[in-house]
Amino acid sequence: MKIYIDSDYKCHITNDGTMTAVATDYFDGKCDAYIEGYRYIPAGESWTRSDGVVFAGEMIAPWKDWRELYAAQREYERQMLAEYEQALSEIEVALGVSG
Amino acid sequence: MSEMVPLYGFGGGGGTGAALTVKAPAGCTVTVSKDGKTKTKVADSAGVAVFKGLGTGTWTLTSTGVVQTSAPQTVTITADYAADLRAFATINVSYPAGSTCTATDGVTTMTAPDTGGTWACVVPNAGDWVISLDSGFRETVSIVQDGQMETLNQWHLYNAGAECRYVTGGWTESGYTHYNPLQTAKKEENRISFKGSNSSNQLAGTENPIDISRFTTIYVDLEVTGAYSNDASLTIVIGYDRNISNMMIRQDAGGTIGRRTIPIDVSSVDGNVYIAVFVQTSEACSGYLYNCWGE
Repeated sequence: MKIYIDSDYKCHITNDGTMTAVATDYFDGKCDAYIEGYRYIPAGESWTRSDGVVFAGEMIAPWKDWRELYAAQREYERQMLAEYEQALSEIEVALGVSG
Repeated sequence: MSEMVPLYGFGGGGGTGAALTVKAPAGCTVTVSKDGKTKTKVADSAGVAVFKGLGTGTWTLTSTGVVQTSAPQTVTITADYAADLRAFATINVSYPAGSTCTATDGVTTMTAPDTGGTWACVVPNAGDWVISLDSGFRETVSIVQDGQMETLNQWHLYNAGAECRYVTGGWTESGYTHYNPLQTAKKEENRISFKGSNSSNQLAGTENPIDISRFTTIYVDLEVTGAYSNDASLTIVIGYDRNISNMMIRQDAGGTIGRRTIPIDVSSVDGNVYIAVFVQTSEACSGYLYNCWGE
């Protein structure tokens, strides 16, 4: 999928016109809130943290508390499952096979 | 305090009373006190401070400044006396703030005065001093000579062949899962060897989850000896479980041949995590893990 990274290498779902597009499969299946809690440093580039430590790409690491991101992803998956089950139920009704 | 001031109770004038010769680091202020009365001298360039005319009894001695503050010693003087306030050696420890840090040689145990993250640990004798954190990390510092100064700021998960089992439980592929079959990386005397294949991944990861809550960076010292492309060789992952496909952090070592130390940002990670290294599915990929530590 395509994501966008800002000058601080934080990930975004949409481009505000200043960001760089990158293609990665790391976030396939992940919700927007999860993706936007991450920092992605492409191979060949580097990011300097505020304390001076330099991190080289390719590095994919959260900048938000990962437990919050995990909770958002679990809620996203729960909603997706509910939608699938609803859609399946409607199909079964249409086919006259619902119990 | 002037030496010429007559001090009641000290025997005065240097003509009576005992002489106390104190060894301390040159430039330190040496203080002797008894019954609320205090006298100070600065240790000379030879590291000696002499107090004359002291009355008999129990005196408390301390030294401050220049190198370190010594713990108070008490001495009972009945005649001329000699004391030594010099520390044997210093271990300057940097540890994750919020942690409890202790040092022991099996006989003497000391605890850092606070959890601020820095401790000038003054040890009183030679020996192997084990510096430990409440999270389970520990390092051994060997002190062999008077005046030795050491720095400790790396808390190892793997150290040139040592698997640091007291915190990692060992390094293994057992328990880890991936969409490709996993194989055990080869453990050599001072490193772990990874060799890629087209159908499986060799992996070595911590048996136990590690509490890295107070670390901001995990460092991995590895060597890439073979790569499939500019960025496909070894990969480091960190996660709350052992499913490689669902790891929280992924860091590629890059395809450049050679040894390097790779920092990984864990400043937004708390709790207990698994850390693993694996080689990409290609016979062209290979490398070694030498060290892994947190700061």
